[in-house]
Amino acid sequence: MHEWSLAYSIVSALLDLLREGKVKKIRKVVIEVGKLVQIDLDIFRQALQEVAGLHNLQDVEFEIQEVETRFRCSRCGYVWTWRDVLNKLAEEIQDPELRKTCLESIHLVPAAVFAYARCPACGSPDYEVIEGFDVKIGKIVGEV
Amino acid sequence: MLDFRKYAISSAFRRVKKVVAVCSGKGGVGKSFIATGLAWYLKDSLRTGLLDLDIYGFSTHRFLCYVPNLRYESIEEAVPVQIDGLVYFSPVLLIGDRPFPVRGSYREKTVLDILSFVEWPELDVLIIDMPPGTGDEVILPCRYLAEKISTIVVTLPDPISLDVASRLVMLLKEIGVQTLGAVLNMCDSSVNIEKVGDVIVVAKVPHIHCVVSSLAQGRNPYVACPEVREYLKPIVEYVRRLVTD
Repeated sequence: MHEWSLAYSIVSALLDLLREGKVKKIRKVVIEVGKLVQIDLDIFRQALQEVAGLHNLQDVEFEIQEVETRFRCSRCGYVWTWRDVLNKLAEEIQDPELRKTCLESIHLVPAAVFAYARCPACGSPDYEVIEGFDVKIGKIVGEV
Repeated sequence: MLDFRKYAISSAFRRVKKVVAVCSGKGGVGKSFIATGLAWYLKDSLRTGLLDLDIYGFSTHRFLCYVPNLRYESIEEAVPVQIDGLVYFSPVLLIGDRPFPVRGSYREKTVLDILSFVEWPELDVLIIDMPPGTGDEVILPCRYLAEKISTIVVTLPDPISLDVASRLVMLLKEIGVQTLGAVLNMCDSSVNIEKVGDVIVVAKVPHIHCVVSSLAQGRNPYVACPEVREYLKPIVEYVRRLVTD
């Protein structure tokens, strides 16, 4: 569902670019997806193609690049990845239903990771996401 | 960067007729109590929603005596929840009672993500309990919901709170958002203040002992304390007229 909503929003943004004359034709759109967001890439790709097709943008190529999510602790400098967070959450939240809610919360509101995860080295809640935080349009290739 | 969230927000709010954001310059003035009460009483006559956007200090669930179980088949299908006819969303539905230490740009993204993913049903009015202050949390919803949003400012009647509330009123005017009125909380009826900045005071709500005692007993104060309805009546009627006119 979230994948379809994202696809709808991205295609709407592209349509506005065309409508406003900022680009004449769009050939390719590169979309960066942080692992943290846990997007189902197959559903997302399908959604993009279907929604684009509905608006006469079926010739646009959507390239989806999955980006590893990396975190850095502001207190001790330790760097870790989304995989480390998943392992830690599996240890800490034994109840599978609660763990599912935790992961789905992060899927819908990626910043929810700050509520659920701490630095694996020192336990600090004060850390940054260096890369791979959310979904963003990395590049649009077309004719101006 | 191309901003595509505005389309998701517009879609998520497409069935909401009006949005009334309850704001305060300072924290601790009773904004959440007023916002929740406003929503609670409006639902008697209008299809009403309540969105808690106070991501650090979310507390509306406590006034509603609502305890989420955090075990969903699907969050997207489970939220917003219904509480006695009130359509409701709060960060507590995602993270329970954990602290939510989001900083800097993540705060902005959190607000936008919440506004984007919660699909509101047909509503005559959605009340938003805004975070205190005059930063991103206030400006962003006003920007993204510009066509539907108006505000109510809550303040205490002391000079310091009034100063901050007046600055908030100025800011809201500068960003082109209508302020419907001000509510003076913890205020005796004898207090002679009729305006906050250039906004008229539409309700004066005194300290109500029953609210504290009912919360301590785990009871909804809007049900347990009949006098709350009376004190909030002017602001409830004011918003009801705005929505139905």
